Amino acid sequence: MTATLAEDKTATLLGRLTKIVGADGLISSPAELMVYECDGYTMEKNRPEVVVFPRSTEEIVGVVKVCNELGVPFLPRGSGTSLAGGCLPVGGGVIISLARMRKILEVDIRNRYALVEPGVINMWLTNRVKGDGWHYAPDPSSQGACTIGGNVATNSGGPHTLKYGVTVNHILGVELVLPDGRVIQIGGPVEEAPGYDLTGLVVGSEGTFGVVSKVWVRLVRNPQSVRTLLGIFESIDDATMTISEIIGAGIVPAALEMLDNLILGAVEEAFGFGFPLDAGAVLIMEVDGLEAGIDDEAARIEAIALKNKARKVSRANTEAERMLLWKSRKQAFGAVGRLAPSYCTQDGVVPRTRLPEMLRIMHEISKRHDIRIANIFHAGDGNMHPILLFDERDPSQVQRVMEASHEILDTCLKLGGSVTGEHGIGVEKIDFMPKLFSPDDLMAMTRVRQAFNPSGLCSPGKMLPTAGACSEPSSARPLKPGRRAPH
Amino acid sequence: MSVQEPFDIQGHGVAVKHPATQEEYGQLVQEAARGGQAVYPLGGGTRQYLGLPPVKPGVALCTRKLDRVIDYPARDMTVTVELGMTVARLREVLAAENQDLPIDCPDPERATLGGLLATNGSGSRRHGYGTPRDYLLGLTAIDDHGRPTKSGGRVVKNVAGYDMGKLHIGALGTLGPLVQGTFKLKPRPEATALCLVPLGADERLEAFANHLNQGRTRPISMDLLSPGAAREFARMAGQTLPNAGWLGLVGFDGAEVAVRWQVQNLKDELRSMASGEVVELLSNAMAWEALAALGGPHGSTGLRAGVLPGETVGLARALETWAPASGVVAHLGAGIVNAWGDPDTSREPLMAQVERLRHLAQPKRLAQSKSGWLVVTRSAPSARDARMVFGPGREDHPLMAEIKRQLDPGCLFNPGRFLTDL
Repeated sequence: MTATLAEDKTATLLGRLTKIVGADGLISSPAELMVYECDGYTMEKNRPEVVVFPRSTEEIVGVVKVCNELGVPFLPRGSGTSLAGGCLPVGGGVIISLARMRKILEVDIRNRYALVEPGVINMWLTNRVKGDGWHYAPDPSSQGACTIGGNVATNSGGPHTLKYGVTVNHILGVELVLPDGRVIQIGGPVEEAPGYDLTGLVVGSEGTFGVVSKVWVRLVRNPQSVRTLLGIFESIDDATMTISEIIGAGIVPAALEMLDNLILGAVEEAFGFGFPLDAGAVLIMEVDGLEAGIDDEAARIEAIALKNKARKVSRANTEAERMLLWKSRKQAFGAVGRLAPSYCTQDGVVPRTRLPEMLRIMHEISKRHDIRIANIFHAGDGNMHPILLFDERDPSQVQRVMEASHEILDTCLKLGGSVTGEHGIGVEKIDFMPKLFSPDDLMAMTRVRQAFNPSGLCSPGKMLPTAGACSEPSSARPLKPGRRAPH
Repeated sequence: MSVQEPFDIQGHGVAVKHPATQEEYGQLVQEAARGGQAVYPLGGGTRQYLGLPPVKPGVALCTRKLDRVIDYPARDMTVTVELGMTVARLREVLAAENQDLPIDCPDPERATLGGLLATNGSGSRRHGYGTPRDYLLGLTAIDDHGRPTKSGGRVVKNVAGYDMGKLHIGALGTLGPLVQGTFKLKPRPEATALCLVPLGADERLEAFANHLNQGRTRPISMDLLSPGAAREFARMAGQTLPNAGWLGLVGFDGAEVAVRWQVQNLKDELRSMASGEVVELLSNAMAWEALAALGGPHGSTGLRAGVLPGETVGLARALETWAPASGVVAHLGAGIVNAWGDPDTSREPLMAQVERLRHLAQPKRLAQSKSGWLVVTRSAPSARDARMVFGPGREDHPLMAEIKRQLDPGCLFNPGRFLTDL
């Protein structure tokens, strides 16, 4: 009887949704839905009942209203590159994929903004305006695949956010389909309209406040000049001391990225940049700005690196060399498959001056749990992405990876940092929330969510520990650190 | 320096209490809530003219005694402080490490950091450095039960939880008093320069604004001052002006060599456009201070409006015609214009002018999504109501009202002082 009712409900849901998005605007067969069971975080999976592909705000509204009428949970999804389970359909229901809303609606260089649909791929935007000498600053490593809508949901970062700020610093406003189907414009191309900064609140809300259907982004002029330096170090310690000293000297590089020996080997095999395989670590150090003075700044950085025992500091001599260096960095995750059958990426943050200490502790954790850890990360921000290498067919390794991950994140908190710098809480780190925030802090956040999403149908089970009463610590779910199996 | 008691908030005398700790602050909030009193969060009392007059008897809880440095790991370039600290005091602390929070603020000796956040203060350097939302990493606010609630953290990158700090910035204290914050910092630049561009006649203004958007230099500030504002600026900065017309002010900072290059380039690029020689102001610290403080005499009527950057010059010119002896300062990069004028304007004539100017900021030819706004920042308290001060409601206001209801259901904090229903 129950099965029949459920089947009836599903049939009704599919029928109603088909009327809105058309038969070619949704998928519902189990085989097709498999792709949508999870995102880049594959430890937990749950199949949605249906995935819809709306083409307009009106279609999103139609879908959301049907979900409300039938009491079906729903959540938005971009490209599914989240590493924290941000797109995991915890409550089943309807995934609203924004993949077909990928138009750049307006580019206004004079007024320094663009208006885009949420499914626009991050990189397309910069490609569109680079001819005019402008760009969209936040550049996550996945920028060739991830969407602006997804960037808004997670407040994404990237290497160049060290100088230019993260996504929230570049979003002027959004059009939002609220969880009850109302459509409102929040913020917009005109800055500072009177009222609360809802734009700042919606960015990073991980899809729990509704479905973003349009985004006004700020465009930034390209720097006149760039210098990209590569520092080769014998040890991670020397490299991290260099980072700490560069920041401490009052230099704000455009980017400051570290790769350790383990990841270097894989990256070198994949891209053949010419990294020395015996180096303990390398630093990609980039400064940008006006041509006047930029060589002095690069020289200061070089001097600091050499003072901290860099074996060699070289400059990217051509744009092609610079692009290859960045490709090696941004696509490094793709090379990790060469190191182990499975890997798990973390996103912890520590104060920048604690990096040397954190990396020493991480080395100790690695040894103690007998799990190799590769490091490649946004060193200038103190935002680390330790990659724990293992074989998921071995339950003992899986267990040790979980314990090691847990220890790494706890250490980040102990050193005054956070468990996520740019990937988000999602479902993966939800159990860390009570460690970061008091019940009162979480209650305030729950109250805000209540204003947007009183029914809780939109993106249930995300960000805050329990659905309506977050002051109770969640204990039902086992702790699942950010394990990421290879595709 | 303590505030006057009872403190005058837009014509209403309010008793002031001075809690010495965050805990005590929370207790006083609880006490007020129990007694059915409103809480009026108060910092240095420099910008209480913003928003609307109080609508309920209550107590002003002053944060000035909450002024400790909690943690200043200078090499991490962050600082955690109590928000009753004045802006000037923070600058002093940071200067010792050659760092700064690069947000302009009038009256920094009295203005507190909490007030700077609550009013979303910013000035000329916002073009190069952004606004408080770009610097606040973590925040502790007192909730309606008197409990501290925090969000964000102390590291420069952190996406755990909702960014409640953003919600409090510019909320005029309506979602709770702000007691502690962590800020991201910047190194102090090696050199700064402020260049004066005499523009004279109206027809040069648009060309000046357009040029700055595409010139070779990268200013940190680009302002347009009406003749009245230019006179006041000259007086405050101790400068002599080349002529009586409109004035452009363009700021640079960074490495000495980069600043020199930019000043020279600006001079070269604007030579044919300006009505006179582009001059670099000497003793520029005083000029920067004057620029941050520019805002008309105490008691004048103040307006603030926002449009698309490309519409700024038109709006600035319209505002300049608004009142005799008015001053207008336009931030060309952001599309924000501040104006001040006749202190005697009573309600009806002011309302008529405001409606006319609002219509200009929200021209029909622009799509609704691009429409501007105009706020009456300062006027005689008797003439202030939501319609006049903030103008017509926008489509996101009901959601703001719902957030206020959720976070402050008893309407304890600054009741009636923000947009309708907030």
